[in-house]
Amino acid sequence: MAKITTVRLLLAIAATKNWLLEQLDVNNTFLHGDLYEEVFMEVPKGVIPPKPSQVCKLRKSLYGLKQASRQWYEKLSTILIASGYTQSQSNLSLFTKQSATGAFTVILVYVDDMILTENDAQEIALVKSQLHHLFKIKDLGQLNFFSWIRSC
Amino acid sequence: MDPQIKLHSKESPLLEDISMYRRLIGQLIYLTNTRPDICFAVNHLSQFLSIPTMTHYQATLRVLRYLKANPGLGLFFPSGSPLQLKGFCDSDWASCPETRHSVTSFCIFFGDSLISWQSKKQNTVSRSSSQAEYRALASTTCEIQWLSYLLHDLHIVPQATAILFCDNKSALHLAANTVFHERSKHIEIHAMWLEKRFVMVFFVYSLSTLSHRLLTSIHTQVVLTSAVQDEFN
Repeated sequence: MAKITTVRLLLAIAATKNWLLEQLDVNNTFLHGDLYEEVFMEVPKGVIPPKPSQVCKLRKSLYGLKQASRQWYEKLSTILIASGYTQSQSNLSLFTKQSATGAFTVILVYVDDMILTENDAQEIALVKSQLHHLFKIKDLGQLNFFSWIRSC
Repeated sequence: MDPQIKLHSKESPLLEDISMYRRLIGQLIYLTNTRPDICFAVNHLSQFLSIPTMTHYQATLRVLRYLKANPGLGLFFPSGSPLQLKGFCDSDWASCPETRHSVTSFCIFFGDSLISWQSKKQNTVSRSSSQAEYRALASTTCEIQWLSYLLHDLHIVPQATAILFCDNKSALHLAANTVFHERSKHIEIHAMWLEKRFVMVFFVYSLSTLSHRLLTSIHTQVVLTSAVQDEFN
């Protein structure tokens, strides 16, 4: 979870440095996580199991599981680190990347909301398409509402 | 909150609908994410969540009336402000009537943008106001240090060393001089923080600033602009 102070600091820096601010939202966030434990669930209503008294075994994470948010975080951080991002040790939901072209990208994650900051307008489309390739993301355009902040 | 009123835990009839009070405080805590002006009041009122009384409820309603009168206040992050961390800290010595703990408050600016603030009861009793101020200095330094690590991770090089303002001379002398005396040796842990010198500590004569407002209540209208720190520039 991003500490709120980090969000404010990032917004202050972006305002000072004239960085672009974009907001992204991941679709079906908690379905992305992998599951390491054996979890069973009752067959949902409307589905008729081949044999009575059968249950479902989960292969991937599902909303409502207590490990759902943790598995999502693990998935996201592994993928971001693998695609060249550096995780900040002061705030584990802050990821930065310095590309060879000089563009600097910051991703701040708040559960499934992401703030994307970039100092290069051309690079931002590239980063978005990369992220879209990894997860299905909803592009909310320029930062408007983030959790509790309405930025204008 | 009315500054004349000191809230106690048992002084008036207990509130019937306790969960309503708790919900209200929860919502106010959420609001402090963008409203540092109610930070002190909310911190103070949230100390009575277990046994709220009518007095506490009325004080909460007063906060709500204040909010209703000033709904549009928020934070302003100007462009082109300097890349430097600036902190203001203060403490209210032994202000809790029941435990006699002091209250730390600080606010930290990045350039002209207010990014971090706190109003929090200290977890130990201070025997003198300089001790209380010194503890406030130490916890503000902690926060500034964390922020400077974050800035480093964001590849931001500050234009100058972080500055911390404090209005207590003896706390500043303690911060400048690491020799310990009998009366100050038990606050050595805090001193170890300050000794690392992440910040330059300065004296200001009057903290008529936000940090002071985080200690006092919202009796008067507070307008949050960066103008409040102009006198220190």
